Amino acid sequence: MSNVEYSPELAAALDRLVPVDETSGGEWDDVVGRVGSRTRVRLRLVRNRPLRLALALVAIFLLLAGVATATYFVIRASQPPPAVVALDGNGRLRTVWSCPTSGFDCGAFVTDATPAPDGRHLALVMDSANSLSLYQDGIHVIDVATGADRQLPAAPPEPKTQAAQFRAWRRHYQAAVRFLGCAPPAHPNTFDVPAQDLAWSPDGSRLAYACTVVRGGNEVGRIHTIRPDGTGRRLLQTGTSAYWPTWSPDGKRIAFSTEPAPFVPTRATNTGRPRRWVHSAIYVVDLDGSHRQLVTRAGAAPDWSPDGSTIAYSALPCTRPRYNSGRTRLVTPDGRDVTPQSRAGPCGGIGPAAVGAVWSPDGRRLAIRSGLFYVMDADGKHVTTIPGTEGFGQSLPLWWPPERKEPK
Amino acid sequence: MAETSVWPEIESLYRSEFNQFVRVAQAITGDRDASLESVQEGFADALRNAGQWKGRGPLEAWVWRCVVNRARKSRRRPFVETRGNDRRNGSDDSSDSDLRVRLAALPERQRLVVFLRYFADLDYREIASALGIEVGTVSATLHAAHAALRVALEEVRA
Repeated sequence: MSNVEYSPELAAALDRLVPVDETSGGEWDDVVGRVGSRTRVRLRLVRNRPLRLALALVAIFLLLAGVATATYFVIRASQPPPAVVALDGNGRLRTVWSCPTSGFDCGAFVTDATPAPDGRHLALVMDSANSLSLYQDGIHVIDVATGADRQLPAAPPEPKTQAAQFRAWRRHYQAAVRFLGCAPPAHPNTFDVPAQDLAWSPDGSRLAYACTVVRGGNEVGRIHTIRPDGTGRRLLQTGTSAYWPTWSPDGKRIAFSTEPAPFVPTRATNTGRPRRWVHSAIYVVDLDGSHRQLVTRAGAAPDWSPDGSTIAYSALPCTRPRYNSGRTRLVTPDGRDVTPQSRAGPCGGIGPAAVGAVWSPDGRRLAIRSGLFYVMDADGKHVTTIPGTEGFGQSLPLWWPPERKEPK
Repeated sequence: MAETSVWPEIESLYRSEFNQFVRVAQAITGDRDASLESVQEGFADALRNAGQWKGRGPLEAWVWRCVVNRARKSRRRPFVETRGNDRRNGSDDSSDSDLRVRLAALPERQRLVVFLRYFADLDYREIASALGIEVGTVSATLHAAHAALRVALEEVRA
């Protein structure tokens, strides 16, 4: 090692600084043991099948949860905002109002809407399945021009029925979802379904709407009226189950049907099974509950004509009874049938099968919903399909602007 | 899977050169216990990673690299502070103290080259392989270290 620089003096000095210690030495087995311990830990991690399986499951779960969450938000974000569309005087569709924010913030769709006679306001209820919706729970009165929104309080809970509602909610979830609609949720786990069948009075002073409650184990309808500012709510004394309120042109009477559709199964709320099928009748009653008068024994969803002479309604079809399907018929408020083509008899009607019919403001045409929206003359002729109305959340068509003729 | 074919050779190196490994590790760590730990862990690293050696350079130099790396990681105090231990042994004087200070002031590479040269008695090629540097760099580094320590060495000589 002659070519290597070496300093004997430095070597000697370093020997003094770090002397050779021959006294102790580590055992070779200790070295091998250190290798084995580290290796065993690695092998244990790799070979521990339950741990490996658990980690794989957690990873798969997190992956699926991430994909599902992302998909949910993408779908919701891609939804158009809920809107209220109406038919103009020419039978064309126009958007009267659309939610100013995204579909996610608004709710899924508008379930019902009614225009104010002044043409400047709109009352609507929105599907409240989305708990984050700005428009859940109750009736919203919206200024069409400015978008200003006022939420009306829902109907108060009925003390006599609250206990029954709770029992039913525990036993039959779906029934509870339906009949808890108009009362504020009495339990944080209940779902609230908004009011239905909105109808603005001809003078614009009150809104009528229907709620479903439980009486004697059966679901029955209740009609309330309320001022557009949320005050002065009254329960209309109908003496029977009541849905689909419609105002007489003078605003002094209300026509209604006893069931949501012409022929429906009553539902026992503790089992959910149909008990019996019942026909829906249509009555006219004064606002104070007096002078109740039977209009027809088989019909639902009445709509009072602008001139006050006729009520259009959905009647039982001629063929076998089908829930939520009827033929449009016309009747006078005192119960005289004036349906054209009367040769079809009491079970005939005009136009396609429909949930209900809505008079145009000029009283010359009827708009109906039967999958799509249709417009036809009052005698059932010249039926026109309104394209682009598939899958609308709104139960019945609207006319806009909503001016009506003065009553006779 | 650990490569075990060279384990006997590494074991032989451990048994024959153990004290040199401990001296170098002690010079780096400044602590006797830490040096023993470093040597054993360094050899365990060599056994564990024997497959990485693949015959590139001397096996001894590769083991030295493992031990030096372990010692550097476990260094607990600067080399200069080991003076107290040696003073208790009665082996310290002013010239040794000056040498210790100058050693501590060297760049780490120079200090490691000095330790491997004088405590392990490795030649340039082995030092280069152990530290992962060129042979020429070892020569220059050792020369620089000698120059830096010359004053202390002259005091020793005097």
